[in-house]
Amino acid sequence: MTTNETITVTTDELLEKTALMAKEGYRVVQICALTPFKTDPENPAKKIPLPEFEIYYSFDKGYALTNLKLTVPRDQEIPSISRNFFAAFLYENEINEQFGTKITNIALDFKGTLYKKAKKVPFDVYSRQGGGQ
Amino acid sequence: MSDHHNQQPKRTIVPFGPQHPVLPEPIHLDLVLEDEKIIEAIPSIGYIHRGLELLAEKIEYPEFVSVAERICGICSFIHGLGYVQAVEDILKLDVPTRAKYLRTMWSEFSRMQSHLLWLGLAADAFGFENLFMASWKVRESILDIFEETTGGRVIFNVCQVGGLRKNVETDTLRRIKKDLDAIEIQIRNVCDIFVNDPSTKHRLVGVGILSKEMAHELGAVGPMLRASGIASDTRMLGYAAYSDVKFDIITETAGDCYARVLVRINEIYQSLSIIRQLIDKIPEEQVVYNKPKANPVGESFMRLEQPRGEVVYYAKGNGSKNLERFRARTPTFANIAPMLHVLKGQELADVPNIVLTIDPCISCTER
Amino acid sequence: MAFLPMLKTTLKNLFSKPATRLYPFEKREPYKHTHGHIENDLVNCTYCTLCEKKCPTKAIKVVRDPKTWTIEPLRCIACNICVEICPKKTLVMHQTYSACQTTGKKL
Repeated sequence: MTTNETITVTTDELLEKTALMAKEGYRVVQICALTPFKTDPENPAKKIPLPEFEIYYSFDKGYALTNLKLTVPRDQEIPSISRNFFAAFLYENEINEQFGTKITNIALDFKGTLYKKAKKVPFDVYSRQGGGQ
Repeated sequence: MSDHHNQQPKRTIVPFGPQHPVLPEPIHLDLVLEDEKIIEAIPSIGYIHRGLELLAEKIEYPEFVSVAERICGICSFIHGLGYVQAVEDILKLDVPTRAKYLRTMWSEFSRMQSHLLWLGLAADAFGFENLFMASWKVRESILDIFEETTGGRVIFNVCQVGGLRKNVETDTLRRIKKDLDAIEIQIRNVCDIFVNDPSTKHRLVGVGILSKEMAHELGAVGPMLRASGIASDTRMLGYAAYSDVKFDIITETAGDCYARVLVRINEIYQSLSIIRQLIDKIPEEQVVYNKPKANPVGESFMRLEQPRGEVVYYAKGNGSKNLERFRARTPTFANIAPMLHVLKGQELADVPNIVLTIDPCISCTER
Repeated sequence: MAFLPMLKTTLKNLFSKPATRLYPFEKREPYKHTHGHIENDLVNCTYCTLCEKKCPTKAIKVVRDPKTWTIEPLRCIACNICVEICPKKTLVMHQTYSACQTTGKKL
C-alpha cells in the first residue's frame, strides 16, 4: 500500500499551497476536523480537550494521499479553499455546522441549515465538557 | 411590441423530494426551471443525520464495528471492514491470510448485490417495473449465500479487529463456486436487456453527460468517474487480498447515464471473476483471528472501494478503550457536487434518472 | 440488435412456478448459522455478567442478587458477541427470528 504523507501548514500558507496543488492536478478527497486533547498531569487516564481545532485537508494524486494539517485556536477565521477546489464546499459547510469553526467565503454557504439537528454544534467536545466560555 | 421581446422567461421552482417514488432515501432538491429546462439545483440534506460518529466516545472500540456497519444497509460490510482496517493500521496488527481472502470475497459479493439493487432501481426510475423485479430476484440468491456463510442477509456482524468471527469451510466455498455458474446465467439474462433493449437506450443515451475535465475538477468518485474516462479504482491500492487477484479497471468514455449503467454491469461480471480466483487460491490454514494486544494509540487514514466509489476512514486513538475520533467520508458525499453540475440544462423528466445515476446512498452521506 | 429481448424472460416467468412462497403454509428453512434470537439456559448460568458488559446495545440485564437474567428482544441486534464470550456456553443463538406478538403482554 502506498504511504500517506502529512504536512503541517498555517492559515496563511493554506490558500497558496492549495492553489499550487489544484494546478498540479490533485483532487480533494475529504476535510475532517477534530478536537485535540492533552493528558491531565495529575490523572494520566483523563484527557482534557484543548480550545483548538485540528483540521485535516486530504488530497489525492495517483493513489498517493497527501494531508495538510492545520491547527487553529477556536475563534480564528479560516479562509475557504472552495475557490481552488469547488468540491470542498460541502465538507466545509459540514465542519462549520458540527464543530463551530469559522470558515469564511465558502462558494455555496448554507449558513447553518445543512443538517437539521437539535443542538447547535453537537461535535464540539470542548464546550460540551465544560471548558471555557 | 418591443417590451414583449425584452421580457425575461418565467422561472419556477419545483421541489424534488424528500419523498419521491424513485429515491431510496430522502434528499431534497430545489429545481429552478425555465419551461422544462433546469437552470440550477440547490440541495438540502440532513433528513437522516444520526450523528453516528459521536458514538465512538461512548462505545468501546471492539464493539464499535456494529455501529460502523449500520451506517448504511446496502454497503454495510465494507463500512465495517474499513473501520476494522483503520484500527488494525493504528495497532500495526497482522491479519491471517485466510481472513483477508474471506473479507475480499464478501466485499465482492457486496458489490454485486449493490449493483443489482441499483439496476433494479434504475429500471424502476424509467418505468420498466418488470426488469426491476427480475434484478431483485437474482439478488436474492446472493443474499442466500450471505446468510449461509455469515448468518445475516444485510448486516453480517462478521468482522472484528484482528480478523473475523467466523470461518467458512473450504467445502462450502467450493459448492458456492459451482452455484455461481447458474447465478451468472441469470445475471446475464437481466443485464442483456439493459444493454440491448431499445427503450432503455432511448431513456439513457445522451442524458446527463459529465465531461472528463469536470469529473476530475468536481471530485467525482466511483463509477461516475470511470464512466467519464478516468481510470481510477481504489482497489488498486492492494488492501485485503486485492494484491493477489488480477482485475482491470473498467472505464467508458461517453460520460452519460448509459455509460454508467455499462460500467456497473461490467463490474458485476468482474466481481464474479475475482470471487472465482479467490476461492481457487484461498490458503488451507484455518486460523482467522489474531487478538490485539493493546489499545490503539495514533491515527490512520484508510481508503477502500465501495460499490459507489472511494470511501475514506479516519480513526484516532489515545490509548484508552474508546477511540477519540472516527470519521467516514462516503462516496455519495463526494458525488453530490458533480450531480448538481450535471443537472443543469437537462429536462425535468430526466431528473429521476440523473439523481439515481450517482447511486445515492443518503444514509451513508449523513451518517 | 435483439428483437423484444424481455419477451424471453416474460414467457419463462409466465410458464414456471412463482418465485414467492405461500407463507404461512410453507415456511422457509433457515441456514445453520442464521442469527435469530438468543436464549439462555438459566439452570447452568453462573450470572458472571460478562454478557451484559460486552453487549453493544445493553439489551441484556443481569442481577446477581436475586439471580435474574433478562434480555430485551427488540434491542438485541443478533450480533452473537454474548454467545461467543460466555464462559459456560449456556447462551445459544436460535435460527428463527423473534416472532410477532399476538397478545398484549410484555415479554
